[in-house]
Amino acid sequence: MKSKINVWVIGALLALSAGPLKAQYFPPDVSLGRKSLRIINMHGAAGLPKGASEMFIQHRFGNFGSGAYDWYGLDQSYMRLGFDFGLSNRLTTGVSRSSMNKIADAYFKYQFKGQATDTANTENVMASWYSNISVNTQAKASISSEPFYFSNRLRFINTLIISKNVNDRLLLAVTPSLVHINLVDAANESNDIAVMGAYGRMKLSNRYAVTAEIQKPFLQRMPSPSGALKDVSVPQDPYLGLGFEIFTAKHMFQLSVSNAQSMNEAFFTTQSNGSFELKNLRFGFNIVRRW
Amino acid sequence: MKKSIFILGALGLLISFSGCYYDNKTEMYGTAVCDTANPTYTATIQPMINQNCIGCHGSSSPSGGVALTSYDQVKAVATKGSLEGTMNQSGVYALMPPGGKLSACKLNQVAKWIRNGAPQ
Repeated sequence: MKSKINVWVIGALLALSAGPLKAQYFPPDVSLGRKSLRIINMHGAAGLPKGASEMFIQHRFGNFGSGAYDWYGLDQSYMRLGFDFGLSNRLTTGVSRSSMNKIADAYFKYQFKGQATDTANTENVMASWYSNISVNTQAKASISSEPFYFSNRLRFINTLIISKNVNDRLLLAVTPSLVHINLVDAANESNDIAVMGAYGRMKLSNRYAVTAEIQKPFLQRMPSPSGALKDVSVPQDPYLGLGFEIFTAKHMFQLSVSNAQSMNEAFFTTQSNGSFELKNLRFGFNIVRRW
Repeated sequence: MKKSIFILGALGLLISFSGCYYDNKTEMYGTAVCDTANPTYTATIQPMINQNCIGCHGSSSPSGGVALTSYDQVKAVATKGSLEGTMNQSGVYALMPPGGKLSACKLNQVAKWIRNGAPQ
């Protein structure tokens, strides 16, 4: 048994080291067969080409711990439906609606390095600025008391996404973010939360790839406009997702297992999703269609 | 085209910056800091359940067969230990609600309510 595992480890190492980067330029994410803006829940660095559009449907089911009565979570599901559009080769925008907390959101992503037309990008680095605003469209009473302000519904996230092709198969990225929540519960609770994250994607063939992403707030205290340092409730466990991508002629299917049911960045990156134990994990999938 | 992108970008930035507030419920609405003195079902637990649980654990085909619409139903899961178990993700229980663990204050209120014999 042990020798079998060793064979796999050596095989994986060989796969990782296989082949140096090709000399001529190709956009890093495209070179890895990327046909989706998202990894599992997070945005990747690549934007859409000018005039291209993408439609995506995301589903996240209940946790495996809910037992056979709920068919290990498949009876409960939240979904998110969205549409993205490439305004230019650098600027991508999109809107979506999620049934979890009734969140509607809009974003723009500015890709300032490594877009498809940039033939001089030999180091295969991509970098983007991602800015998202989300609106909680639940009834007023479930958000706050009166007098109610529209701003109580809003959350923001700004992310710097830097990805690099390590070789022809492997892409790694770091994604530092700043989340802003307009209305928090307590007076000593910070409205701003600094989050650190990363994702990776390993191509297995032209049709298959495995992905992983992780996100966690990392500062216990954050400064506020009044000058006082306020507390951040840092969750004990990070958000963690593992995915498997299947690319067919027209669609991308991204199957995943993660500990978060929310699909909006401003939520699952900062909230306490629980540990990465089987009882607390859930199945999910994304279906992506690009035109 | 270049110009329209610039205008869109500027508009986007304007919305992102002007929409940003630093509010909290304690100062805005005078919500009690964290009252764990004598939590009751009607005053403390029911509003919490209505806000966080009833969406899935309502009366029609509740998730996991667990309905939380009445005092008796909530008291039953509280006595059984599954209410605190799921909220704290302890033992065999998965975390509830799936939208993220409730605040420490709310968890304390639930714990105190159960210790006090789950009064109505």
